[in-house]
Amino acid sequence: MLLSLILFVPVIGAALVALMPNEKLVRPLALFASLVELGLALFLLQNFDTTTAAMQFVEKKQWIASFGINYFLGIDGISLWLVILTCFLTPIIIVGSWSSISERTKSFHVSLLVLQTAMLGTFLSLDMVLFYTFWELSLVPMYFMIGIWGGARRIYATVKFFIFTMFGSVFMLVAMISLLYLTKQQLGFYSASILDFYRLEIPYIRGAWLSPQTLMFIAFSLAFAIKVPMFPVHTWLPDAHTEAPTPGSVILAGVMLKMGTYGFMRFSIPLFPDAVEEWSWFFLFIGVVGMIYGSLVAMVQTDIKKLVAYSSVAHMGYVVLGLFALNSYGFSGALYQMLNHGISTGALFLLVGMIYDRTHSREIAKYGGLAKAMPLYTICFFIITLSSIAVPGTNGFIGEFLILMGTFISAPIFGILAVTGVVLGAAYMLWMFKRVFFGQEGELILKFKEQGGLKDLNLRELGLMVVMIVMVFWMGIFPKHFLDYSKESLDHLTENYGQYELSMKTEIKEQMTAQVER
Amino acid sequence: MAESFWIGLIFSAPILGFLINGFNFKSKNYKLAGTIGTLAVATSFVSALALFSKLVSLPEAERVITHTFFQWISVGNFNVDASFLVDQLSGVMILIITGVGSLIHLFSIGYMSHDERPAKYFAYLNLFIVNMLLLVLGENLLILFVGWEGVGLCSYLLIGFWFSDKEKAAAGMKAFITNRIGDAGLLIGMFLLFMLTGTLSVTEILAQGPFATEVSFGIVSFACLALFIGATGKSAQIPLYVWLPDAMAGPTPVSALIHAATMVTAGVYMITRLNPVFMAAPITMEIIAWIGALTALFAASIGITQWDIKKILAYSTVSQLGYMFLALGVGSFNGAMFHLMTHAFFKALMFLGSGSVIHAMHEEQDVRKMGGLKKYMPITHITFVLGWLAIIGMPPFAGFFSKDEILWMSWHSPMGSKALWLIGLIAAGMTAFYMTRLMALTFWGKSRVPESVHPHESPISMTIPLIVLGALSVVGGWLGIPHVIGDVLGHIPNVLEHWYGPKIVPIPGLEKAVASHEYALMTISVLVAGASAFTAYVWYTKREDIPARISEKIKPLHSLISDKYRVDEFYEAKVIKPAVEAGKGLWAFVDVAFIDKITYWITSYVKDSGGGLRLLQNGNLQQYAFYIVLGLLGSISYLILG
Repeated sequence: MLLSLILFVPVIGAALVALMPNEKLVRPLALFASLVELGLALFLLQNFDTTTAAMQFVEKKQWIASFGINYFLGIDGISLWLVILTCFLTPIIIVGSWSSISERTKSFHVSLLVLQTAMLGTFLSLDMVLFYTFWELSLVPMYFMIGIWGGARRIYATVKFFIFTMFGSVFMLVAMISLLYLTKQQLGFYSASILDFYRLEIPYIRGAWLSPQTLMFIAFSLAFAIKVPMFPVHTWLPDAHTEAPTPGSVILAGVMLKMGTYGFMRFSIPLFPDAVEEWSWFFLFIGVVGMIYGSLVAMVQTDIKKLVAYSSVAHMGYVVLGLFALNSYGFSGALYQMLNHGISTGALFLLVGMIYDRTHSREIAKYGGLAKAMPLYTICFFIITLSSIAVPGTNGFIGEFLILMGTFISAPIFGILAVTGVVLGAAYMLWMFKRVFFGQEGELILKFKEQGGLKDLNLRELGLMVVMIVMVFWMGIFPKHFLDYSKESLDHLTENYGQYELSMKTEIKEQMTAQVER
Repeated sequence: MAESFWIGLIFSAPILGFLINGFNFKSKNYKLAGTIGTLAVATSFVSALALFSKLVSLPEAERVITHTFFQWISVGNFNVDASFLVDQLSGVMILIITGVGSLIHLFSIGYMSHDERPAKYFAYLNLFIVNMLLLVLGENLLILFVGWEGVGLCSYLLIGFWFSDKEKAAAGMKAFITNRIGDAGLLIGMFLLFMLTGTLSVTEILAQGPFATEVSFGIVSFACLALFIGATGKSAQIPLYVWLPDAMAGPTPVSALIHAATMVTAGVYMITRLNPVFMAAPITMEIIAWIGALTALFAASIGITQWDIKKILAYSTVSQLGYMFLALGVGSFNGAMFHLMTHAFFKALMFLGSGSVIHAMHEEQDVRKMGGLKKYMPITHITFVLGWLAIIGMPPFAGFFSKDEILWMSWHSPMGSKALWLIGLIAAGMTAFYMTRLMALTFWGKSRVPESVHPHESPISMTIPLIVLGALSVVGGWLGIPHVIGDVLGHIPNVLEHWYGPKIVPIPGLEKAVASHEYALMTISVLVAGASAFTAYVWYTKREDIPARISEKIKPLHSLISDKYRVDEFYEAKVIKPAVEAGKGLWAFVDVAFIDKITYWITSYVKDSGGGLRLLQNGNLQQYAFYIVLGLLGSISYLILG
């Protein structure tokens, strides 16, 4: 029941928000719903069994029996942290947009909460059709978020975002349906269960372009690659980010991009291991290219938000690299980097939003000398910058180091190339930091000085940042507190991705067999 | 008291100091902030003394104190503990760091008395101490790396301390990014070591020794080379030294602590830590020796032409670090660690002395506007003289013994060569020249001080550190008296060599020293240094026309050197600019003009083409998707089922 509760509390919250007659209570109510949700997620964390790689808290209800499609939920060490991340970021976003979203607050919060359910659904589904439903559903609220509350070129950005993502999803759908046929062929019954998919022997001919496994691998991976986004299908992201309102950017970078990397971990790698091994070099290559490309392009951006967006491309390149290193360092690093990116890039977008609310400009060239005008803001921005450039002691370092080590061990050449990303990452972030915060007071700062100066962070903003900063150091200094929950699942994936199977935790299995017997 | 208590205290005191001053960063009370900061480091110094005396009391073979606080990372078979190791190497390092650190904190109170943000300054300084201690005490290379990047971060913050000045902020950024290039090398080195040994724990790596010497350039050599690249970043060697002279933009006590005494020696320490591994990579060792020697020579030559007192000292530091790497490369790890220590004393002294001068001169750093300061600043002058005698290698001052050991070993060691020795000797001559030039222009000769400036001796809180460091610059070298001298004077032992002995792999095939050779080389280097010091003294106090005429005569060469060989300009044109241009080009041509064009082209093609299929094409994306699904479905089903 717990997973269903977690899945639907946000939607129930959304319904209540929609019915709320008093506009003033919309925000508190949405915040309350998201906090209840966070409480449930933490309860889940507390009861999570770290000794098994099996699926836990499994729930299964028949949906479309003739095709073996079920309402089938479960969680393991891989999806656990993404669920927690989603539930952690939602209240942050609500508090973060407390004063920046002033129009149609009600529909905004409804969209946000529906989006939360959709994202949680993708992480929790163990049924392919259910997964796909949530995967596509998540597009809709995001579409509205950018389209309604976005910037001047929001329509262009939304259409681009939608076309890119849909394009990829379609291929996934096709591959999904063929997997469904395969279950009938090999197992004797239709099943959309991912756990059943793992048991399939998907025909594979080494070296042949058109072997079914390779085709399906490409179809799935294309969908995920666009979502991540990987070079060269990343161009929707900078536009979406620059046009999205702050909370939209936070959720997009913080959670939605991880749906892509999660997809690689849950589907591409364990389902199509032979194709993965044949093609891993290509993904490593694209990952490295994305890292270097993203960093170089980020370096020359004139808009702070676009810079952060391109930095996302670079950071997600790391994640892809870690995944296709196909060893435990790579997998652990990739999972950790997903969380790190959620924290650090989420916080960066919040910070950019905070300054934008004050000055209505994101032109780097118009700033300069901000450190004197807003010292607290500067300190927060600096610490998050450290996390983003992976200085040891922060969360970013753990993820980056493990990924680089994993890559180096499985493909030294790519490892060496990837290490250059360490230099470039520092270069574009610190250069931006220098131009915005140091030096003489720039045009904007002087303008506001005449009007009484820029206000430093208020309590609400500072509180948000303190939460993020605590996470940055907590995850940097005690990574075991986090990775221990995923260790079993990640080890299981590392050792068995070639012959991957996932069981369900026993007591639930017994319960289910008992039910069936009855 | 248990060892774990002292290890805990050595870290927690400066952490606490950092937090108190950090949360109070707006405070202008420099006395309070300075007292907190200084006390914090002094507490660490007491802990370091306690740990060191524990170490001394242990039997020689068991001089190791370790303590594990918690398990940091555990992924697959890769485990890293937050574990700390005090042994002969790190024991001396923590004394230098916290001892010299305490003196520099004390000095800073006076130096920063007019500053707007003294609390912030002391917070950063304490944070630096924490990271430096992590670096030297880390039992695991990854903990060392935490400190390694941490000190880089503090260096960045302190170089750019006065960030309203664009140049200073840029200098900080340059330091960080240049160091990151080195760090990338260090990372690769660690990965290779992990692949070789399956661990990054220093104890476990060394326990797998002795390592077979690689005749050709194999994986160990490659690992060591990568680690050395890391060292060239932090320890300012060719080709990554360029950040250090710019780093002088920071407050002068910072230059003394970070950019002379401690942080920049991290590379020397790291290589010495892993000396059994490096000894297995003779080709890499040769590279290290040559880079070190060339850096020593190259930086010394620039030092001769500079006019900024801190820049002269900065190039001098680069040059002296070069000596340390020369020592490492010829297998004299003891010599490198010895010079590291004496250099920490006399260079910190001279940086603080220059700080005292700059403070007295109202932030003037150009030696052409000084001269005759001896009269106004007697204590600063006397202590500076001690540092000068030490660095130019006059017996019996500290630098004589350590530099002599390096020069002797580069001649005598089978890993060294006469050429390396000669380069070292020439650089020593240059060192004597530019340091004497600095002394003459600053303290001696006629006063060129502008009338508006009234130099004065610094307050006692600033002169005490000078006096202590001055004393250390005299006696510091007596810990490593060479056997040829010690035997003559009546069995004075070489304390340091004995102390480090168990931690250092002996040089294979090292012949017994011939006393007469050692004396001869010693005499040559003292004579060379003396002669060039005398020349510089005469030229810059009495005959200032001579250097002016010479530099006029060799103008192209002189301006090339005084422009620092235009290396910065080269990097700017060949590395930074192309990277920025690449970024712009990729963005404009790949993102905007190519990928987006293609997407646009595809979508509009789908929309516009095929009038006959109009019925199918209603512009509804979902419907297109449906057709694509149908098509793919058909083909895939055919492949699978057919």
